[in-house]
Amino acid sequence: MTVDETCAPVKIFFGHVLELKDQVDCVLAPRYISVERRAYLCPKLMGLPDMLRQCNTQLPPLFSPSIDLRRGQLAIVAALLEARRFFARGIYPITRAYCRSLQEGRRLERQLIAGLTPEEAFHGQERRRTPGRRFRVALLGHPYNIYDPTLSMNLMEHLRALGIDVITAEMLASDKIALGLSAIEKELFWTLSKRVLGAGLYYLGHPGEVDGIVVLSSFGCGLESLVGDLLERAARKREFPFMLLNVDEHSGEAGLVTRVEAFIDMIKGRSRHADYISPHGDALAGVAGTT
Amino acid sequence: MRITFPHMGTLWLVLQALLENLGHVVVPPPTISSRTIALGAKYSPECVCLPFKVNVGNFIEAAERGADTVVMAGGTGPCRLGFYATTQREILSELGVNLKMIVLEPPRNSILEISDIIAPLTQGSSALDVLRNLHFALLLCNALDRVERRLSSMRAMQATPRACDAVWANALELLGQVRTTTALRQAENRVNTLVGAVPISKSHRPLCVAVVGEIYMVLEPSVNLDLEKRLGEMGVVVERSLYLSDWLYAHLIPSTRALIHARRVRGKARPYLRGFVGGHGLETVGKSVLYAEQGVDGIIQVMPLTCMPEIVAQSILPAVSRQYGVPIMTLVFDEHSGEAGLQTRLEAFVDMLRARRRLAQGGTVGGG
Repeated sequence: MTVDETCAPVKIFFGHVLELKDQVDCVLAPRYISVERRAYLCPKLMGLPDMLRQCNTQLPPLFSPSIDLRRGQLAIVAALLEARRFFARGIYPITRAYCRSLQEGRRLERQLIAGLTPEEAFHGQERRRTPGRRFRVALLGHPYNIYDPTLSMNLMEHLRALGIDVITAEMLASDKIALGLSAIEKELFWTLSKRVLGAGLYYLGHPGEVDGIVVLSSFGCGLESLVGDLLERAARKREFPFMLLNVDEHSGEAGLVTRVEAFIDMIKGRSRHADYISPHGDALAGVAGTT
Repeated sequence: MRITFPHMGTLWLVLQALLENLGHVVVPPPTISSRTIALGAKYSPECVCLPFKVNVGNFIEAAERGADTVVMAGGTGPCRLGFYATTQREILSELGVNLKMIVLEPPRNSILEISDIIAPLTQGSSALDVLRNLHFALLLCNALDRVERRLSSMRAMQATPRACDAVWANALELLGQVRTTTALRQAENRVNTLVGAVPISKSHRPLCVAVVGEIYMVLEPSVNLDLEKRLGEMGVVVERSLYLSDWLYAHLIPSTRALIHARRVRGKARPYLRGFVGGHGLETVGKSVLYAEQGVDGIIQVMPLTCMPEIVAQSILPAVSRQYGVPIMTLVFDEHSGEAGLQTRLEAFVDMLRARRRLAQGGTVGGG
């Protein structure tokens, strides 16, 4: 249904729509342009409903309001008016629904900052944290990647099974993210990447808070191709454990697990050897030089 | 200050003239070669788009030649270009390449900020001088584009192979040296004589193919593997959607004509793509519709691998193709693209277009 070149999340979105299309009366696919000032989401999200419309399949009516808050929050009114037209309902029920969704959104945000994953928050679960966990890893990436068990190939579960406490950028307060971003001189213009880069740089600046950083990006993601690389370079400079995982629809779970296990072994090894001999780069050369 | 800049088509001639007129020493990067691309790919992020990698290669090679300052464009998204410089600066500093980067960001609040933005390049020149030199650069750019446009449509009908290429090489030589408006006029006249002297065979009505897509891949022949020349040599007239001057008029120079054209393109794209998706995604769709309405025989979209705006356009172009019955082919380039593969695909595409024309004229597919 999609072109080969696009990223796996877009392909999955199409899959969702195709799977659901015969069970529903209408498909909600907002045209997300921007959710904050001076920042966009991503070009593919901006074109997503149009890509869907051209996919040459019979689809139920498509409701795709444009959400463009580049010039301020008030612009949401345009999307609400579109909703009013589409659902042929009065302005009052639409506004009430919007206010309720805002409330829900804020509640979810609070729960995420308290350390829950969206999945846990949706199902009203408690935070899964066993006292024995000594190591903490920041798992950074776009929410649709890291929280999707299929696309991320259960990465979060694998990390937890290895005795790791996983935290994500969504669990980090926005002032800390802003603090991390202040290390970059140019203002980043992608909302999702701001979160990833800000959280990554924050943790690199506060190395006591986590023992390592894992970035999960989907192959062909234009944003992460730059942001992931910037983080990798920053981590290398500080000799901080960092791993960049690139996944697409062809990735195999076994390969991922091997890499994750090796990474965690390395983190655990670092803490055992107080003299911090890293089996990498200069440290290795230094050892070879002394013998 | 020994200034360099990334390559993009004929941009280097225009920038070199502009910066030299402003009194700078200019060190243009060597012509893009396989070494440039290899160097760029080696030190760039794996999944970044090809223009980024070629830029990095250009910078490294320019530094080898003694450049110490890079001038490049910034941007405010959502295309990656706006974040190129930030990442490239990190790469170069990690490599120990000593290059100062001057990034020309679009003004944030008011158009008047422009003078601050270009200040590092205009020190010592009066405002009038700067304007005069900018005007000359624009004239030079227009002249280069006029010649290239003429050659693109003539190449398909040249009687001797590579005659147009030889004229183009001459034109670059002649126009690249001029620094004053009068000299430019004389040089363009000489080039026009050369162009007029190219022997033409008018035996057949050539096919016409439009090239749309991402600006860097459209403008830079060394990364699109001489797409236009290849098509020309197959006897195909190339309609290129974008020239450097078009970009200048659309983004930097106030022009009513460009504004009207942009509106028209957006309007044509609207049934398929409702708005801006960054880069030239919307233009690719809109211009494809325009070309289809003009009755071109085929359309080729070019883009670098992982280009986000063009992926959106690529997803939508099949709908344009269905609606207007015009074949559209997408070519995706990266540092591994090979000439033979491209040649085969182009030949197959052109063969198919010829067969379609024969069928439309009541003939058979094979032409027998």
